[in-house]
Amino acid sequence: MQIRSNLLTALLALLLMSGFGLAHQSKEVGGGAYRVVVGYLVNPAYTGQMNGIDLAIRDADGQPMMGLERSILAWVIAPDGSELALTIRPNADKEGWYTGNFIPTVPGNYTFRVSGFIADVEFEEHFDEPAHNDPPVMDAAGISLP
Amino acid sequence: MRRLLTLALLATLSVVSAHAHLAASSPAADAVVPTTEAASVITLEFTEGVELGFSTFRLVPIEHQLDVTDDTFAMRLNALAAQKAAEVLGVRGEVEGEIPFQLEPARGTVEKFDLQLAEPLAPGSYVLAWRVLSVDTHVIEEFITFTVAP
Repeated sequence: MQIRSNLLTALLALLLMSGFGLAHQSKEVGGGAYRVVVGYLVNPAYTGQMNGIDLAIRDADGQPMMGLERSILAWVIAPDGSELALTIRPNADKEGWYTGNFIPTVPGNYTFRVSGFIADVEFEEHFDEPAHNDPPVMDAAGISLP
Repeated sequence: MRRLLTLALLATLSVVSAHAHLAASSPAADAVVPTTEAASVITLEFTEGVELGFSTFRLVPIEHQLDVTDDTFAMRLNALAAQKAAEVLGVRGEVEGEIPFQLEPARGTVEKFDLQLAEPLAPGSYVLAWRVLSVDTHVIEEFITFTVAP
């Protein structure tokens, strides 16, 4: 019974860990010198709820790159194609992570465009799969009740 | 009672998340000042008191030649400065190329203070990086850049 319980706990932990790993999209920039990781700040994402970009920048050794909030620009792109420039700030809870808030108002896939400079590397990337549930932003009506 | 406790918790969180961040500086962050106005005093003002005796400040030039008229100048400069700031704040001794200065006052818990340079800065871009201990015991690392135009 104890073994079965331990196995279930391990399986649950594995599922949770893989879920976190899949919840963001990662891209190399500067020929592999840096890695930019983007996802939703709040997962799962629902309409009408405060969310944001969850943006990490790492060097080739995986070390966090800090102090880049004045060197990075980011936009969230709604399912209808409209864009909103995000105000990027460091995430005080996670070293080398940055965020900028927005509130999605319709269900669908909100994607992110990120550009700027890391040291002497200029980059611009579109993160079209920042979450792996379908749709990435779900209708809050499905979990609401009076 | 529950409402009072919630308010007390929120007030506590607000105080904890304040820390000592830069409120103002002279030269201002990302400023481009002409050589004739290059001051030999840099003034920093923080949102709350910092313990100067337990804080580190580094003033170093940015070696890259950047076009001041480029729209992305400030972004490029800050990206280089972020790398430089991380590098120099990790050094215990003197940093190569570092520009010496005296803190005024030299010690104490203050919100506003000066960095007195021996002479006005030469043309070029600079990063002023710091690791300060604020009165709420948090350590904050930040930097500003500014440029003395030729």
